[in-house]
Amino acid sequence: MVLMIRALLWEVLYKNRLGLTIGLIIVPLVWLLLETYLEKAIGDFLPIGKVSFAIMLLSVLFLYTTFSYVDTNSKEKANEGFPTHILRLPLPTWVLSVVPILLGTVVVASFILMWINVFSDFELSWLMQFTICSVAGAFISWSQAINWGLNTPMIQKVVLLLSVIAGLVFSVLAIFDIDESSSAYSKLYGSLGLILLLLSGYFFCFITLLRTRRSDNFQFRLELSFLNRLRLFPNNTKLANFSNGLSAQYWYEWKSLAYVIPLTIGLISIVEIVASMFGAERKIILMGVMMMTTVFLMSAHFMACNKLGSEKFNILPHCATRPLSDFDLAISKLNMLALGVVIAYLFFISVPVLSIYIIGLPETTASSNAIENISLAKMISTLILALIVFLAIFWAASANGCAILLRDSKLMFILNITGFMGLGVLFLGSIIYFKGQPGDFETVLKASPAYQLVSENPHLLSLIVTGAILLLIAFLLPPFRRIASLSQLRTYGLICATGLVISLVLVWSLELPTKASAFASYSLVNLFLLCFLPFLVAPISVAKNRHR
Amino acid sequence: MQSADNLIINIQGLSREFDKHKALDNIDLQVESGQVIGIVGENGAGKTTLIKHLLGLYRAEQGSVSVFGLDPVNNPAEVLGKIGYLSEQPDLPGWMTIAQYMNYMSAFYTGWDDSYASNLIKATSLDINKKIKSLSKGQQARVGLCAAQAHKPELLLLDEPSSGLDPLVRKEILSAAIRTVVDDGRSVVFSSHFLDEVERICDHLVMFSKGKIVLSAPMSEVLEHHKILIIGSDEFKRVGNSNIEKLPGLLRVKEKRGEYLVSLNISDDLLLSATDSLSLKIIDKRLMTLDEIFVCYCPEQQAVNGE
Repeated sequence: MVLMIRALLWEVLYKNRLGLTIGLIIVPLVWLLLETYLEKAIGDFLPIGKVSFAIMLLSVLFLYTTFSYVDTNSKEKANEGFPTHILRLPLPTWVLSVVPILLGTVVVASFILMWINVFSDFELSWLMQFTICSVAGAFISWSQAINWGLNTPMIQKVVLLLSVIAGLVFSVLAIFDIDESSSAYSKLYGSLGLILLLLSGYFFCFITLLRTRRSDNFQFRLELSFLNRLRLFPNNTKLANFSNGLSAQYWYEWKSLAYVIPLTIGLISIVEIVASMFGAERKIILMGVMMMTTVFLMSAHFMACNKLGSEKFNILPHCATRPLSDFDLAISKLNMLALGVVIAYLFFISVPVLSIYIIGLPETTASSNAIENISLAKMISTLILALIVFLAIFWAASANGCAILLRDSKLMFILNITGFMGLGVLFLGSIIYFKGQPGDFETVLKASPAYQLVSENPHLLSLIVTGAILLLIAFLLPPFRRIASLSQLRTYGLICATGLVISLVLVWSLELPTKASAFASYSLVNLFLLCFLPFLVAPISVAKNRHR
Repeated sequence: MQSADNLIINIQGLSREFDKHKALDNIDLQVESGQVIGIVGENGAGKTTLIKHLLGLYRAEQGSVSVFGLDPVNNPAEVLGKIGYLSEQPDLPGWMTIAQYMNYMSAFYTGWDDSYASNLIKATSLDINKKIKSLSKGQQARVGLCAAQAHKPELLLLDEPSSGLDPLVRKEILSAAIRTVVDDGRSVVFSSHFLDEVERICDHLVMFSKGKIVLSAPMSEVLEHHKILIIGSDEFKRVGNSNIEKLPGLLRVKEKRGEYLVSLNISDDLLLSATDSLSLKIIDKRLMTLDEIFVCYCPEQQAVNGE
């Protein structure tokens, strides 16, 4: 038995060797190399400790997904179930379920502990070490149980995983007595909660595997019929009426993945609002907002990897059985992405509004100086402008990523990831800077990393304008005109132009100094060009991908 | 096959390279409506690459591809609207039920016949409310075949569809489907590794080897013209190897247990005059099976068979 367990451990580790090398060695090494440079370059406005923490999380996420992917190779699908050849090993089911999860837990927890010990001055108490190990183990075991087929419908998976995450968050909060108002038993309750989550995760992994091994009919299905009535999810009995192929493709894109964006953001919003109702700290709410932002940015990858654009996917049968033009295939994806982003955005902005309603406005904030002298009209203009700009940023980031990924090339994928990371750092950096920066709007704007980057490198923005103009000219030429005509692009151009005009009017109504106003206007022109670019790029990407 | 105006497929001088490997090498192929074309060849011979060109999924690097008189790359919607397609691994969305999938697919094709689609699905005896992901590979292939037929396509493209089907389904359902298409005056292009199936179903055989068409002829002609002559050792030595090699349509010569097996692609009349001119005495003569013809034309198969 020991030999077989060793063989099983070897298989899991050997299959994961690339992920382990990247997660355990390459990322920490790169971080070590960059640390000096980063400290000099961005240390002024980004606390280096937080960047280090973010990189550690990235590495942990990488390790987790690597283990998760390998251990869920299935008999029929690459991303679901348990590797069936392992089921044929003469080992008890509990060993089969515990060994891979325990290994994943040990690797992830050891990595976190190692990182904190090496890269920070933070001293870890025994309780902290226990918490880290338990959280890693509980999360890995529960997510594996869900992946291995504990319950199949997507909605149930999301709800269950979010419930587990909520349970983990509350347990950790109780252990560390964040509110400093809990009872003396707070630590005990938190620890018990973690142990319960950890053991139940392992138990459900075992149950799931046992069911798979015996091929019995044990079902663990949550009845969430009320959610089905929302018509967000595939309905098995009612058939939709399609007016044509394009409308059918819209339905397909929405039902297959686009609905996940608002669904996820919506569920996080509910958790956030409930948390604020129970008096959770603003930091936790802010963390949730960051999580939602990440989900937004990831949405592009979700959408593009759905059929077109993923190397795992054989594009042939999908395109061969959808007699639609390249433009229609691209536009159905973009339109449904837009619908998903807009609905999700409504959830997104509801969180701060409802949280402020529930827990009230901050008593004194650093930025209050900046707004105390602003009139109500200007405040409303600023608020509307911010809402439009944030929506435009989310759309531009998601849709451009999606449009590029539709090309299905490794180079484009790397460019996309790099661009995303860059945008993410810039975006978070700007938020962190604005949050803690006193002074008037102009001073804050000028000192922000986004402003610095663009003002020092004006060619970055010129590239967008030039690229957009060149692409528009290209669509006048026969090879591109065959993909999409200007009349097909007109509607999308008009929507972006309307957004731009409204935003410009709002900026000018703020009566900023000429230089700041000009910079903001120029940035808006570029932002809305970026919003329009996916409609030019996506059809080209699809055409290049489809007709290789 | 090449004379009429009603060509539904017209491929001329088509070549395609992948990493300096010639997947297709100067292919010419014309298909009229009402034909069943069987494409055979060893793995990597270029069958799927050719079908991808017909679907507009590959752009012609050299030469031209025309389907229904249109370039499938520039007119994907028009061309694919008239094609029914099923591949070895049909990409059916697992989250849909069969009913949803058929309803979804119906929106794409103007010629979709609901009652015909319903009959096709009924013939599979599958529950239409079952999710596709819960079906076996063979059941999924049958659903894919129903969807490929339900709009009564002018051209049915089947890329090794039999791989996931059991012999009964292969023999009855697939053959019936193809016959229905042909009886309506429509066409089928069918690639397969099952040579008995190709022999039974197809009117015209196209054999690929290393990206080239090594044989393209009506099936009846292929079966009638390919023969094996059995010649005794003494007779072979008397006539001489150099004279045997001059025989028209010679494919290969193989020695087996003291006898020589000479494979030829030749009509009876030509064979008679050739043997007369050499005064060649033949022990026996028989027609080749499609398996033997395949091995003759595909060198890699000879190596596999240890010949």
